[in-house]
Amino acid sequence: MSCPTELVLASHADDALDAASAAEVDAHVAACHRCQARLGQLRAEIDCIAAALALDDEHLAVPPFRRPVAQGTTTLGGGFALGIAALAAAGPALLGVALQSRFAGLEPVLSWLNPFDAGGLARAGVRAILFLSQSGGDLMNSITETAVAVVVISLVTWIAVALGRRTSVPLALGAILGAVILAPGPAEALEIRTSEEGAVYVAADETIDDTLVAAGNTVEIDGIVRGDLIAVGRAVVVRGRVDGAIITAAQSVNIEGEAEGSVIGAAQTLNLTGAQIGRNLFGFGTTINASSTSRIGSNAVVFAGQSTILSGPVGRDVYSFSNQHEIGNTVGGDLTVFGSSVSLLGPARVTGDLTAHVPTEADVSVSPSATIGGELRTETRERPEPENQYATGGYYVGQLLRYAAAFVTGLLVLALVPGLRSAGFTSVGNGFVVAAVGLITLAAVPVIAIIAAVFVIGIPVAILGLMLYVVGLYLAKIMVAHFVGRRILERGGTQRHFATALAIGLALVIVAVDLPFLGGLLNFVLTLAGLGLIVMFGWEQVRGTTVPEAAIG
Amino acid sequence: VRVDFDALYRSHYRRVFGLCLKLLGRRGEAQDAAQEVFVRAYRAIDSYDASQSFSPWVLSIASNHCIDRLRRRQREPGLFDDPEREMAELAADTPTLPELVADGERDDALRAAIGALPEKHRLPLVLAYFNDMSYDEIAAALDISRNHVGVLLLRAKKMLRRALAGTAAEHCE
Repeated sequence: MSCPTELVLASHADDALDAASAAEVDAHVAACHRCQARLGQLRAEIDCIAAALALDDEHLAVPPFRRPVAQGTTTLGGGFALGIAALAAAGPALLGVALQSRFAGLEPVLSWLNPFDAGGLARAGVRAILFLSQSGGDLMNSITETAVAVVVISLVTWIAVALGRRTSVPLALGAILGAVILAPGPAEALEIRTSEEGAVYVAADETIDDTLVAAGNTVEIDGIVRGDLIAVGRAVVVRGRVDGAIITAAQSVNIEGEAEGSVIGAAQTLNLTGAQIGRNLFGFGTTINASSTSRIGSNAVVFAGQSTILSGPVGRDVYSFSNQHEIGNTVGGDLTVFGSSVSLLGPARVTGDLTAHVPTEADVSVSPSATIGGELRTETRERPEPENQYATGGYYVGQLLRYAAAFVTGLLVLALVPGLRSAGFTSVGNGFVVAAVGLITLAAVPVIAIIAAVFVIGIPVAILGLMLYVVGLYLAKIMVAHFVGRRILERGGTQRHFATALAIGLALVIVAVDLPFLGGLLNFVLTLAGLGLIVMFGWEQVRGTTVPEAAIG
Repeated sequence: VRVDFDALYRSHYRRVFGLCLKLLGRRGEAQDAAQEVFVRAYRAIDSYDASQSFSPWVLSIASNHCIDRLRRRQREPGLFDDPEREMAELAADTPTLPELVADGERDDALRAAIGALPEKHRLPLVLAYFNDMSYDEIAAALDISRNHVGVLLLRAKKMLRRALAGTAAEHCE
């Protein structure tokens, strides 16, 4: 046999020759020193290439896996269930606020979020600026604290998700740390207890020297927690003592013990039975009930869908958004209520002013034995005669105009910013994050604007920020509509033009936000999601192009 | 048996990303591709036999996905359509890589040279020597003949030798 070609030798070096050819080459190589040397060189060359190709990214960070949404639901863990339970607890509160604002005939709390109501926006803008210049400073602390409470609640909900999935532990710890920093307390370290099925129980004779993070079906604290308590579950009961703050999200929350810090709670029913709260109460729920033996050291800020009953004393101001209010004890500062009725019962004593935003004067009842140190102000609004809007022709013309305006705006924006066409959330967890970002944006931008407006020099910044905010609110639902339309088309297995997706999505969204009763809540949720999408998209753009210190409105 | 997909993801991501990077040559695209590979694997997890190793299964998804991406990147459909010309270009013996470059600087120079190879030569090289695929497997993945795989590999090596001959001249002479 003459010497094989280099191709044959190279194939042999790769062990790629069939058995017969390989045997033939081996026989030749045994006798030919030149080919033997060449084969050795080719094999060494392969090792050399393989070594150069070997992984050199040992320190590469592994990004989180973005689970596709279609099958994500099959792997929902207990943590998700907890997170959703917590949201479900907060949901009725939002629904309640939305509903009561309709019934109470107030300037509806949510209607100014309606991007299609330009008049409402203008009114809201003028009122906001007037408000900022007159009394923005006075309410600063409470509003800031409320915003902080909203952020903390979002963090806690997120922690529930993260802990349940047992992933992203560093991130979860980061979030807990954030919550702990925002809710100041004597915390020094952290103890985490989770039990997805059963109960987390701290017995009466047990003392936890750190901040306790507890997640379980039921969380019962009979003992002492020296730091903060962060508790998530179906039912949370605190009978013991917490030296720091209590931050909790659950279906029902009962606080019967002591908290030296503030209580931030989101629950369907939030009960304070004999609770001694050193600082503030921030409550979000359907019903919020503080018994006559309970005591709130500083302010109470509550959002309750149905009723707020404060039978115990409150050290300073009360701001309450609820359908019905019953105040039965001392309020050390001002009492401000928004709702359909307020009753000041027998022994009640309001040191400051009572301001009631209710439908008519008859909705304020003050018992003869109750006292008001300051003024009683009733801010009523004549309710327009309720008419069936769905039966008027103008309503449908209006809807068509809304649709057309939103469609044209959406087309323009999506054509100008093609990146937005692929913005969306890829999983339930991701959707959660997007909504949380939306919520934070919704809460934070006005607060930042207020802070800016308090200083005269910041007023242009505040106005610009609010304008961007309003534009964002208008675009929010359009973006969600496009996303919804796109998902529907993708389900159908077709890839269509973004205008088709927008057209379909907008039709659905406009119908959805106009549903009686549910529409307000849907409007709110969709706006949150859209706002979150826009902010996250903007953030990614900023991060991607590494523009330093860029602000996102 | 339920598969702990998150654990598999964490333990195999680097390898899959490495393959995507070496095949695609662009870091950003490789990150997207690696995510897409795991999404595909996640969707097809029912077809994965848990008694077998996960690595070859996910790497085959990765190589197929990257090849698809490269084909889409090419305007012309035929990425590998002229074996005869390749064959004719294979010249006589030249010094092999280990003879050309000293151990110290070899890997970096070689890595750079591999990165600079045309796609049609880089692909089979990476599949063969990073992904340990046989000629038959590479031929099936690239939809070319087995013989053509051998030609492309040898041609790729010759191009590397030529690229490194310059480096060798600078360092050794």
